[in-house]
Amino acid sequence: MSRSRKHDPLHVRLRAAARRHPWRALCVALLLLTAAWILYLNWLVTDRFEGRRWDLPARVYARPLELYAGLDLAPAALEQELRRLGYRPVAGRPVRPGSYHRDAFVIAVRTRQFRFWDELQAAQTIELRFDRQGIAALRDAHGERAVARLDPLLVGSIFPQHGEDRLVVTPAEVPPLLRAALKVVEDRRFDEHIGIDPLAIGRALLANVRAGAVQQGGSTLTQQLVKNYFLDNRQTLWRKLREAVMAMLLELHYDKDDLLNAYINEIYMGQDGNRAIHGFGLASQYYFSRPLDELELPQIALLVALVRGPGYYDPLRHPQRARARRALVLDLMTEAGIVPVADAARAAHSDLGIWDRQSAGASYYPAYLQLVREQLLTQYRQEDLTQTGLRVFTALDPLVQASAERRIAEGLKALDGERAHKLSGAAVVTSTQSGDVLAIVGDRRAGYEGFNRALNARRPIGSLIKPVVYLAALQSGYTLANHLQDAPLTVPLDNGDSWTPHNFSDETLGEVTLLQALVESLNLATVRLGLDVGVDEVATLLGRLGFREPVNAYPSLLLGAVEMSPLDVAGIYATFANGGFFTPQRAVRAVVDADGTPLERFPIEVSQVADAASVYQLNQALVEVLRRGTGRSAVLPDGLVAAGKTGTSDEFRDSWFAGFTGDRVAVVWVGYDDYRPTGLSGASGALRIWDDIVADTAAVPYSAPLPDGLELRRVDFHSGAAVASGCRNAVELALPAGSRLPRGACTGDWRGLGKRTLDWLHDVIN
Amino acid sequence: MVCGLLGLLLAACSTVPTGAPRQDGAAAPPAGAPPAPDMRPVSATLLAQSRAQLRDGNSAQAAATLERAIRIDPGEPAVWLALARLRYTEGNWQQAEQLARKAKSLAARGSAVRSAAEQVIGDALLMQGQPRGG
Repeated sequence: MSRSRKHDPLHVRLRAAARRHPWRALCVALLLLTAAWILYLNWLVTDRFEGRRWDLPARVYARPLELYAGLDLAPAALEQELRRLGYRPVAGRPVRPGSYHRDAFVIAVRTRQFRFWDELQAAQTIELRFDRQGIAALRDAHGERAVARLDPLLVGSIFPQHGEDRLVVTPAEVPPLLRAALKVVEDRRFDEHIGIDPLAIGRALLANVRAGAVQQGGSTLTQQLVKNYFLDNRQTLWRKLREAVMAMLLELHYDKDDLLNAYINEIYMGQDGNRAIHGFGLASQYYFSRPLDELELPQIALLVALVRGPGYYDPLRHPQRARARRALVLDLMTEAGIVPVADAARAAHSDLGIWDRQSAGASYYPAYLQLVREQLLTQYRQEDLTQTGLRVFTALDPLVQASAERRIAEGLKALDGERAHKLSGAAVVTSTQSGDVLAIVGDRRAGYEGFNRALNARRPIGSLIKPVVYLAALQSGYTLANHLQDAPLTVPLDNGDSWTPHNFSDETLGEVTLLQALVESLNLATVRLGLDVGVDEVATLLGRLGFREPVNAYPSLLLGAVEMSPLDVAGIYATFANGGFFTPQRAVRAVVDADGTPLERFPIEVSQVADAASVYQLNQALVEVLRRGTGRSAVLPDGLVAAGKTGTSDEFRDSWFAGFTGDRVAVVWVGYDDYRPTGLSGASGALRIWDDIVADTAAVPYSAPLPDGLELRRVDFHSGAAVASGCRNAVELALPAGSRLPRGACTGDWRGLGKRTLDWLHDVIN
Repeated sequence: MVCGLLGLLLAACSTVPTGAPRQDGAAAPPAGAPPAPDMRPVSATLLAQSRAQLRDGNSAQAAATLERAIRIDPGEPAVWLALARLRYTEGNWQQAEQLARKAKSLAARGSAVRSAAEQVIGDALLMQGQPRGG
């Protein structure tokens, strides 16, 4: 039974052999298991390494600041922008790229070389002279010059993976001193060992025992790399063994340079809220707002110091520890002879140099990035965005974004008051004429990565639809001076039911002008007008203005029974602001490949979708909304003429304001995610935030050239009759030339004004 | 009465949102007014730069330069017109027409830019197989 014969099958013979020599069998089995385990680890670690090795995620840039004579920019504001870009102030003439010098009204900047999407701009010295209006003149080495661009702010990589963000740097972008310092401090024998370094382990043990504290680790850089791939805080013996084996396996497959580069791009360097900072490239931007290849000795030393414990040595929260460890790093570097003693001493005494993130707002813009990704994914595959080193130039304006974020956060907090439930809000700001999306705020928490209300909340727009109704009317021959009846009505519906709309205040004003009905957002008059023009007409116009979703052409559409995102609304109001030209709202301006070749461009395109004369008339009414209508409680700087519309949906579930100036279109929404009523109208809610954002970020008042076919008339706001200049309710209106105006006199009386004023006060207070 | 109307018009010019002082996105003066104010130096420079780039056969770069100019000075019709012409040379008739319309909407009545824009509109319409007079 125990004797096997030559012709038995293998497993029978093996089993027999095992029974004869049990210990040997056990050894063999263990060896096989170990081999299998090693093979498994081999696969695990090389798969991870390879997966990251060629990863070159797209880099995303904000808009570059254009400098030119006549730009309304104060020297302090330019300095702020320069500091945000990591430019360092110097005494005397700036020589190194990334530095500047300021006298009272003159700033000299040595710009960085930068490859824009359309040209490579060499490093150059620009001198700017300021006066009270802003930039008065620019000069460079060749003399007077008209315009110069600063390099744009890098806002991060396109796809933070699982909350990890990194800016992959190529070997050329890594300062040699950094490589040397890493080896000196973390792994002296890096170039010689096979993945683990028993000497280092021993030495570290001794040193730590002597010091009574963990000063040195015995892990090699390779081991640390492995640990970072499989971030695991349970440093059990078993884990350490795994780590050691995987480190040795990595060393088998890959050369030292590759491993060091991977380490530089992988190592955990800090935490920014939800976002984990990985790699020296992003760490350099995060802590110093400067590119890695620009860092000097003190900064390099600080980053190397952080590797051991980014939380423990966090320069923001524990500056003394950071300083102390940086000093230690500098000592080690001096001892090793890679840095002169004098330099190290100077570095040890210098500031930590962490840039002030507060003044710039959050440097992470996930809400905006979401729009960037959406727009890119229409043209690129996901792999293109994560592997091929694309450079994406966006329209993000960090100043506008910072204002929008701050105003939403503060505004909602103020509106919350004593409420049991916290309100939600969103904001979108775009550039009027170019369609550039400047800022996206999707949540009251800046940097929030979850539900993005600016892009994805679809909410009833209520009275925001009214300008569309009125535009349809104007295009079909109505004028702002025509009369409407603001009187009760019941509308029969197709399904046999009927619909009885109401004014918000439940009062009816009788005979009013189109102008008044829009400015005061009268529901009944609007429904009558809309029915006369045709609900289908309104639905069609909505589509032409840029809203691409299907729309139900029911009468309730006339009062805004249609759901849109704040970005959708911005697109429509931008078309008004542009005099009837639709221009696509774009977050991405240009994309360039790793070599600098421009790829897809997202050109500025326009399309006239509504006639200029009608839109001009409409916009006059929208200006009046803010002067004397439902938006009159807005507080704006003198001279900043703005136009807009309040939006309040059924039962006060949505509070909107959408409006524009000459240079900005802004939309704010306030409400509850679960649709419960807020009790806020557009004026008492969203407008409070909107006017702050616009005051912060808009500089150009709304104005437009008078289109052909219109002439200016002075008419009474209530009656539409032509009146003399002394009439108290007179408005200068552009109306179609030769318009027959209604008969009537100046309504200087207080017809219904008392009650209406009380309603507005009620609105404003609540 | 004529004087009264004239007075009204003059008064109107100071309060209605047209004819505002020269700024970004700002008005051409009201009807029947003197020729448009001079172009800003930055816009003139970028326009010249784009012309040079076009001469070098660099259409994409020229377009990028014009878009820079539009973003800096969106109220300047000459820049929109230049972009319209560029699209025309690229065979993009639809955008040539629309950009020219945009230029026309910003240009002062009777100005050279305005008539040039009308020319481009007409040509682009023809290329799209539509009659002039759009």
